[in-house]
Amino acid sequence: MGPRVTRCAPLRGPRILRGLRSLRGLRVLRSLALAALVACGAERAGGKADDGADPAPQAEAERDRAVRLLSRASLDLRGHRPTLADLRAVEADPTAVDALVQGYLDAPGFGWAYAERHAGVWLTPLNEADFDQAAYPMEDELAVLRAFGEEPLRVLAEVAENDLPYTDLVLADWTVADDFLARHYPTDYPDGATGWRRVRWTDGRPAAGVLSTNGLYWRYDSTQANANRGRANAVSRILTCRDYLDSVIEGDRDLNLLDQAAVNDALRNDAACVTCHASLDPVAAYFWGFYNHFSFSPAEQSTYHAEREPLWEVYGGVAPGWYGQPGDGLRDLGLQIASDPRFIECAVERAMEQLLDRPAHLADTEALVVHREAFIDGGLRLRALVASVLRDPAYAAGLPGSADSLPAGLDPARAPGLRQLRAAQLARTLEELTGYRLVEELLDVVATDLYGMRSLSGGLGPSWDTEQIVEPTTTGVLVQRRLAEAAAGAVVTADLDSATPRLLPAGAASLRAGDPAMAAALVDLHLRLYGRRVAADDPEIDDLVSLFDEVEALTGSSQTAWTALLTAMLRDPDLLLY
Amino acid sequence: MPRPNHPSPALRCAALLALGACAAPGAAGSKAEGGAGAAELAAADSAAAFVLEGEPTAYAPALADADPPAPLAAAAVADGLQRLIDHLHALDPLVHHDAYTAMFWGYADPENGCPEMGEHNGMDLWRDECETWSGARFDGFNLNVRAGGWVDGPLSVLTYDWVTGHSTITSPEGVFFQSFGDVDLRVADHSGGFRVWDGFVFGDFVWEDPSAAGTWVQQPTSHEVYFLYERHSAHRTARLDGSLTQLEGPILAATFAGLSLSSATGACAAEPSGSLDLRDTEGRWYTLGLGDGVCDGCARYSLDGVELGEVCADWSALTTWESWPWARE
Repeated sequence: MGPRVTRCAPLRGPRILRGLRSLRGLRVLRSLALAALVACGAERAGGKADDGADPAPQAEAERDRAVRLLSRASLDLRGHRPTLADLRAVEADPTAVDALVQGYLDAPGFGWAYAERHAGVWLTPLNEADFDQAAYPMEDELAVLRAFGEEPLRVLAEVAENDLPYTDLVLADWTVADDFLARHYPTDYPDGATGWRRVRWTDGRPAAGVLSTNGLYWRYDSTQANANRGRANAVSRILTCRDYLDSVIEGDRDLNLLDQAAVNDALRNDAACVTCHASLDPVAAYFWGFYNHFSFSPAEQSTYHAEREPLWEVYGGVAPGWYGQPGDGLRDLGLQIASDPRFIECAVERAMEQLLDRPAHLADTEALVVHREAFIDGGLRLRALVASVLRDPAYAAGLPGSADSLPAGLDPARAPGLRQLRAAQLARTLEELTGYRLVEELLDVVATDLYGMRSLSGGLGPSWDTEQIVEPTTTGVLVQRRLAEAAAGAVVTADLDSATPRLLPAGAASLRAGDPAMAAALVDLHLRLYGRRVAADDPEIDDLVSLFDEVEALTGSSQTAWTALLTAMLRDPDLLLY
Repeated sequence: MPRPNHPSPALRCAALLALGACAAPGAAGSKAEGGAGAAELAAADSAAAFVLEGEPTAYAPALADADPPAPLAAAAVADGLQRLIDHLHALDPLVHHDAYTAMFWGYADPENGCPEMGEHNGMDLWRDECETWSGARFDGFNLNVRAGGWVDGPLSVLTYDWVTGHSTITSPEGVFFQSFGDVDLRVADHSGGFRVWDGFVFGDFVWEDPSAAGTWVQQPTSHEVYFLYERHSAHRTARLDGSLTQLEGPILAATFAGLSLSSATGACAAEPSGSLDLRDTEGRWYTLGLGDGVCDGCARYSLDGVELGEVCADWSALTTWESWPWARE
């Protein structure tokens, strides 16, 4: 019997309720979809260890678990699977996993990996150019578009990467720009420089970190009638986890929404409206400096319009403020948000949600308090927060192929399920494994929706209005299949001619079915690609050897046989699950 | 730590804290079990102990800006105000119209389709992204009207110039021209016996040609300025509304409404009526008390309702022109 779950109905806030609903729905969907994907994997992984007939020794179980855990942490913290050397080290000594994971956490690149996971929350990476490219000339529209969308996340990444206090997210007097943005942004980006770097604005905009980025407002545009309310909700949702759109509204159904005067009156006098707008509209009043008279004009959007800050007097008449505290300008808003406990608690909730890959809910309360404490104790450094979540027993629960992975004492309600690679992780994983990346016009095709590949691969989002949910889909299988073929072909071609092959064993061209070295190579590939230990005499190894043998017999080509073998392995669902 | 069947007050508050539903308590808390260093992933059997002992630490950061800069002194505000007046006096719409004429008609090759010419309500319109045989580049769309000779109520319109669109033109030599927005100028004779210049400059405009050195199209200023100038036989009037930003100097931006000056006898040409607010580079807005009954070009300025001093400026350029309202430098 599992531990008793204490439920406390009065504590259920809207977000928690939403989380419960979402979680329930997600779990139903996932249980259906994943069932098909993992059926074979679970069967394979069960093998001797999980079928109960021949329990593996405890030490072997610990090795299995440590290997899987290392793979999960590597994918979460770095976006790709561990090296074979790291996996072998953990296989030899399961206690080595802690130091290796700490190394992943401390390593350069953590910041962007962390920020990229939040793309589904921030929803700033854009999918398409929603402007007339002839009317609004840019030298390289797609590159600029990508950079626009990344800018806010790059600020988050900079904070995470450099162990800056999380409050810098809304207080910094800098942004992060690359050489594409530098052509359009008024910043001190150095002439001749390339790549993302911290820069300062030169157009006199307030120092308010991500609240002063162009990218945030390019993504969250507004109109005069909307009066920045959508922006205010985006800021509220992203930074304090309060989404006004989650509220149930019982307003006047006869209100003519085309009658602006009537709408304005309702916003001030109708109780159903006032409930939200009393706090939303003052936040919205801060953003008029980013209001654009000419929609989608790069000149309008790249430069801060200080002269428009007082437009709240004209449109709405509600003065800037944050939950009753008046303010002047975005700097004040940054200070108000940074001082609000909800800002910190939301960061904690987001971090846990991203790393557990599920919404937070009531059963997480105690753990969230622990993570919050670690975050504050760590000087509001995101690495300290992430380290706390990694220590959370729920993090290690639900490892692929493990029937016994629920830690003793862990509330089953807290246990997340299998994780599935997000589109960006899939692209990076394949690149790290094979050197192959599907790039078109400077864009990572799998990680964007230039050709719809991100959506097809199963990452629903970042779309315009929904948070990211990653789910197994039929089209995802097709994307994986195509990528597997291309990546396998690329790496085999390169490795067979290389003295230091990337993925294939040295001397792969001369290996034949029956060679012990062939079986050993396939054991290594299982470990590398799936974070899964198999024995050299595992039936799956036999199957792969047979596949290699048959293809070579048919074609007379070792290269084709290796390509077929790797294609099969790279399109295995186990590559996606961790 | 075993789970309580019912949350204790401390735990309940901790829970509420995590939900953002109550203020942080003041007591300093003890720490979560487990150090802040190693990830300790292997400790899978510690689930039951993964709770905070003691009270959560209050979140009470000291974030206020330590030394906010002092408000601008009167001299700095006066300097900014004078720069604003000088800029408005130099904001000749025809500078941009001339730039457009030079760039479009100087480099367009519509016979060879660059840019493709169209028509909009009987007016010429181009929309294209192309490069001419000579190497000039056209991007965007633009409509240009140069007309006149009609009657509009009490006004006999002499000339009407309108450039609108979002376009850039780059000459083969690399001279850049940008027209993002509208520049509109109507010159008309009023039946009352005076001449009128009215219109607006709204958007972001650039012309890097050396011949435009020193003019407003070579400054980074972004405008939304509406103007009305009148030339009477013995006096001039000016009225300005709007806002602009990216001024140089201590004042970054300004917004104004109903700024009115008149050099007529008995009126005031030294100081306008209307409202005027100036924003410094630190984000503070100063309000000028114009039209205080003393026509001396000086006004009290205040920040958040607190008077800080008096600033004076020379507004005379807006009403002492002879035949054209703007300075053409």
